[in-house]
Amino acid sequence: MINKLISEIVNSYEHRLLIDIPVFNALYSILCVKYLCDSKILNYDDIMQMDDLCSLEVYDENLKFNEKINYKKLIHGIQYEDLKEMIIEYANKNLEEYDHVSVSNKRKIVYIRSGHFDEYYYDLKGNTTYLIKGEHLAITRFFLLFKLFDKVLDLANDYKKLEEIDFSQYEEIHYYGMLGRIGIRLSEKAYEEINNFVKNGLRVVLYTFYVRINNYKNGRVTLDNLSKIIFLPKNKAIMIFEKKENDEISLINQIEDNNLEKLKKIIVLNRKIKDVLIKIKKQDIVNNNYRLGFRLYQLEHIERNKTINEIVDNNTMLIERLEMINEVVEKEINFLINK
Amino acid sequence: MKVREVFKEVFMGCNMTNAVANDEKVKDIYTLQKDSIEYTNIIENKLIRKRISNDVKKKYFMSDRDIVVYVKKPYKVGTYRFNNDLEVIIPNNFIILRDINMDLYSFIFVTNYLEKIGIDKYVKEHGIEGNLTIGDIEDIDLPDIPKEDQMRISKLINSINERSSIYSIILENDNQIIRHALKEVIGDNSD
Repeated sequence: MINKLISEIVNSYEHRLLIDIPVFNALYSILCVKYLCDSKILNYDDIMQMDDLCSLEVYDENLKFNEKINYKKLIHGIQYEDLKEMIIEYANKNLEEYDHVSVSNKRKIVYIRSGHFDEYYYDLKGNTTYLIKGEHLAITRFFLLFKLFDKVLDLANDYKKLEEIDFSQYEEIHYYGMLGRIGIRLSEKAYEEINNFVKNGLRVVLYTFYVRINNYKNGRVTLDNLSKIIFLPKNKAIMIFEKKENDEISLINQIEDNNLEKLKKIIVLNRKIKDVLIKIKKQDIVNNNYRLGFRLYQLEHIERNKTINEIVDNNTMLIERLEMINEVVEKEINFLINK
Repeated sequence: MKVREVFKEVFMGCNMTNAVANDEKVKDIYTLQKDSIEYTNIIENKLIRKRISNDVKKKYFMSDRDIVVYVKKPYKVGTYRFNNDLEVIIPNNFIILRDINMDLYSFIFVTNYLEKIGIDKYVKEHGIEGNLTIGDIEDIDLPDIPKEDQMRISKLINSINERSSIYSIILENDNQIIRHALKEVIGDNSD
C-alpha cells in the first residue's frame, strides 16, 4: 500500500520526480496526519472538511503541505490501512539490508552524508544510531520520517550528532556518501572521514554509485583498507573498508557473473604502489568488459595530497632546527678562525 | 692516495628490470634518483618506489657508510644515514664506494672533498665531458692529510650541509604554499 501511495504522490507532480525531497515531505505529512488521526488526536472527518491543511501545523511544526498534492484524497485512501504494516512494508521493500554486508550484531551507526539516495536503511530492530550532520534538507526529512516510524513501531533507534558518538560502543558504520563528482572538498572530506572511522576501529560500509566513483581520488589510504565491493543494480555499489592484515579483497556482483577475478587481481597488485590509484572510467562501464573498469593512473600533483597545514607545520619545525644549526656553525667557524 | 686504495670496493649499481602490471614475481623497492641527493645527504622522502621483477644481489642494497656518486652531469656525491631499516637498492647510474679505510680517512671528509673539489678537479684535468666511469672515480686523488685535520672540520661541514638541505626543503614548501594559495583563489580544482 505504501508503495502505491508513494507512486500517487510522485504522479501528483506535473514533472515526474523520482524519490526527492518534496515526495518525502509529502509522505511524512500524510503518514503523520494518519498517525494523529489513528491516535485520536485528530479526526478524519474534520480533516476532510478543512479548506486548508496548513492549519494542521499546530500539531507538528514539521508538517508541510504542498498545494500540488491532493492530501485529502491520499489520506482518505489510506484511512483504513494499518500504519504499522505500511511502515514494515516500506522498510522491507525499500530499505532492505543487502546480503554480505553486516557482520556485527552490535548496535550500528547509519551516517547519511548525501541526500542523493532514493533509499536508506531503516532498522526494524531499533538497533541503530543515525548520525545527524549538517542541515541537508533531504536528510532532515528522512530522519523525521524515521523518527515517526520509531514512534509508531515503538523502536529505540537513536539520532545523534557526530560529537556525541562514542565509537567504542560500535563495530560498524553504514555511510551513505559520494566520492568525487560533487566537489573535491566534499570528496576529500569523505575520504578523511572514512579513514578516521577505520582508524577508530569501525568497519565502514559505504553506499555509493559507480558512475560517481569515476573521480576516485586520493584513494590510496582508503584503498588499503578496502576489503569488499558489492555491485548492485541501478549503478549502485557497496564498498566495505576495514582494518585487516592481508591484501585480500572480495568482489561480489549481484547483477551478472563477470570476470571479477581479473578485477580483483588488478586491485590487489596495485594497491601497494605509492601514488598509484585505481580509477574507474565511465567508458569502461559502457564497454562492460567486466561491468566496472579500473584504470591505473599516477597523480601528477602529489603535493595536493599533503595538506597545507602539514606543509606550514613542517616549515616551522625546519626553521626551529635551522636556529640550532646556525649556533653550531657559528661556534665551529669561530673555533677554526681562532685556531 | 687514490680512491681505489682507500675503499675496499668500488662498483656500479644494479641493473633493474621494470615489472609489468600482471607480472607474478613483482616486488616493490625503494631506489635512488638524482634528486634524492641534496648537499651530500640522501633525503629519505625523495627516494622513489619502483616495481621490479628481477632478483637483486645483497651487495646492491645500500649499507651504512656507503658513499654513492651520481655518474651523470651534474655529478653528485651522497651518503646514507637513515635511522630506520629501509632497504634501498642503488641503481646503475650510481657508483658505490664501500668500506673506507677508517684509519686514514674520515668518511665525511672524503664525501665532501669528492663533491666540492675532487670530482670537479679530475673532470677538468682529464677533459671528461660525459658520464663518469668506475675507472675515473678510482683514479681520483685524495689529499694526504692527517685524519685529525680532516675531523677538525667535519662538524662544520655536516652542519652546513644539513642547513643547505633544510633551505631547499623550505623553499620547496614555500612554493607549494603559494601554489595552493593561488589555486584556492582562482578556484582550480584540477588534478
